[in-house]
Amino acid sequence: MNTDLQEALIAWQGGELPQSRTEALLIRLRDDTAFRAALAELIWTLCLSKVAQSPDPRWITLQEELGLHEAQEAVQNSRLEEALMAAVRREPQRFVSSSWRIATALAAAAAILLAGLLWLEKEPAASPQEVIAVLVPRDAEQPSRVVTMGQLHLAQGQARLLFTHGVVVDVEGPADLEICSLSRMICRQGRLRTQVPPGAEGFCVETPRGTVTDLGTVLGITVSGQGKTDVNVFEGQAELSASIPGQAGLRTVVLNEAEKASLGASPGLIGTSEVMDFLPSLQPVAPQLRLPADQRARILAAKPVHYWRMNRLVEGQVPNEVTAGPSLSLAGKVEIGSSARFWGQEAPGVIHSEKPWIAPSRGYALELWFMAETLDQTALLALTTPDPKRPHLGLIELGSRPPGQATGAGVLRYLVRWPAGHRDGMNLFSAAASALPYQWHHVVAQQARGRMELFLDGQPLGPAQSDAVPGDHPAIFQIGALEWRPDQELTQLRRPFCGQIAELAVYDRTLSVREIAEHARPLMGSSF
Amino acid sequence: MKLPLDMLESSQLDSTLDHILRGHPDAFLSIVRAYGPGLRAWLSSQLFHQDEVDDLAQETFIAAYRSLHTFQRDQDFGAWLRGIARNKLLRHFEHIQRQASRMEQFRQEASAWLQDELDQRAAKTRREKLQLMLNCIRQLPERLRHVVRSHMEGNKAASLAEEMQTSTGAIYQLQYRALGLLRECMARKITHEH
Repeated sequence: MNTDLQEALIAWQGGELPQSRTEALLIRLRDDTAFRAALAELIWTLCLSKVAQSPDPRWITLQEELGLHEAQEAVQNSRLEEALMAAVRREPQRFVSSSWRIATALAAAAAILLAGLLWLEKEPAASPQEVIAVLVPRDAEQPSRVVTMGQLHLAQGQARLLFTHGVVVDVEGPADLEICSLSRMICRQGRLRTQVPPGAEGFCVETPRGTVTDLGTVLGITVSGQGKTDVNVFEGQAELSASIPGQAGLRTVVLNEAEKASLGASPGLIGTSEVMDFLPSLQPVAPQLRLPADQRARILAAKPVHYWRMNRLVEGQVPNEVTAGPSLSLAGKVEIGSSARFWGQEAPGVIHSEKPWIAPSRGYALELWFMAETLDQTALLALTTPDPKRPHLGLIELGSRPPGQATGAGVLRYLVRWPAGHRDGMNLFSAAASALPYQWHHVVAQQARGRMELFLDGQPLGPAQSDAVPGDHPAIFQIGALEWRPDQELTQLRRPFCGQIAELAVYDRTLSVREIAEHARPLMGSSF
Repeated sequence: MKLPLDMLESSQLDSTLDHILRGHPDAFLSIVRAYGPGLRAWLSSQLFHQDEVDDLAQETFIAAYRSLHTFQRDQDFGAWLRGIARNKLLRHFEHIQRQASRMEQFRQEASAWLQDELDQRAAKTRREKLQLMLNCIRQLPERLRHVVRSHMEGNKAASLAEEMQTSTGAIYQLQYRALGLLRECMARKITHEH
């Protein structure tokens, strides 16, 4: 059976067999059901392995048939660099249609023109469901962007990869990487530093000389142009593995904290490492929020009932720009500079109101700017009742996974609960990756008689109608955490935000689309 | 945990088709995403070159989109797609009018006998199986992995044998072993997932 199966597979792939053998195999294929099933299983495994290893085709002709002409519009309407980058992102590895040859030519031109730019992404951008990570260039002038499965090349400079399940990989170029999945990447060259949080252990980096598996640690990995791999464990443990030439055996070594090793001095060997300059932790530079010089006057002209800019403290509190309006209090670690800076789980903090505001049933709007530094699920603004258990009336949060979606990376959520509570409610979700970290975003969440609207960067999402219409109700503001009670330990703070929040304005009416678009338009070059 | 978006249950399929027919052609991409892996793997079992596979898969989806209104909702959408693909495949063979070699004839005849078996497997293929397959390939010993990966790069057995300093027969044996291990690994992972 095995010989027949093996030879049938060879013949099926076009391998040479004597005619008498192929005829005999065809007869057996015709007469032997079990043989047919076994061969089909083998062939299917082979086909599946081929499809699994090939990239999703872009199918430009199909896109044109469906009327999706993004690439062409980009060429006409956007800056040349952006258009060329769009073409590069759409480059499939194998495709032969004529329209594709045009895109390939554009990609080639882009490769030359963009040689001075930091990143070249070879693999096509994928749908939001396939977001694996977000790439944050260390230089604040370059925007962060979504990373899907595929190759990444860093010509020079430094960047941070934020994986959606919490793994952080810092990279220094020149680097030649391939993102394979949430738990695996290939590094053919480059300096990396991986940080793997609890729950994501097993993240592995394959190199030309072996595999480094992070067992919940902070690691430095340096892969030279020849593939030699040096590893340093800064914290925790890591496992190194190398295949032995000529056999199926796999040599493994576990490294403990402060230990170093080298893969590939000789093939299959794991030896000592002399490398000293492993990549240190790279903290991306947060971009500044640039708003018009008359921002305060513009917002006050819209008649908010509360307006906290978060850019100064008066007697230890965040002052209200509306005359006689209450200030906000701080608990835990929150730094007030040009905006309010929160530190997430590392040092939880929250800004909150002491006295309740009566949220009117006829409608209200909540407006703020934020810039996240993680992909975690974190709360931007919670509206609760003054009840000691702090049941929610409304919530704006980031990174919440919409039902049925694989990830909540870059998702903005607006939730209204009525009656106030902790469980049920009506939600509006943004598309995945629409609120990326290390980018400032403008949000307006508003509801009038249960009709909810959410605006992200001036673009409307929704509307939705909540199941019951909220009445007038006293509300406490909590900024940067899901819920906070005065008697609560700060370490117990849930979904603490990591990043910056600014310009919180509250209106006792809904804002018009025009007003929101006007407020969302930051003016470049103006100081905040 | 399976991803419901990848599976397009009949109710999801119905609502997606309704959405497309109401004038939202972009929704067709979710159908491409859901049914693409199975269709490409099925075409891959009929054709050797991946370029041809992807071209025919695209032509199939375009034809399906154009005749979407003719699809009967009580039909199996995957089988309907494969029916279109089968016609495309026949026309493809006629178009290239190649003189099939003896070995190509074997493949065509074998494919005819294997049609039902391959159809059944195509119907069960979901996108998440591709990720499982990638994980299984990663766990293969290096030489076996190299053979499985080299196949993708278009290396035929003889050139691969030369590169790996071995015989063509040994390459086929390595491939056979690799496929056996991949089958076991996939079966283990699928059982574990359930």
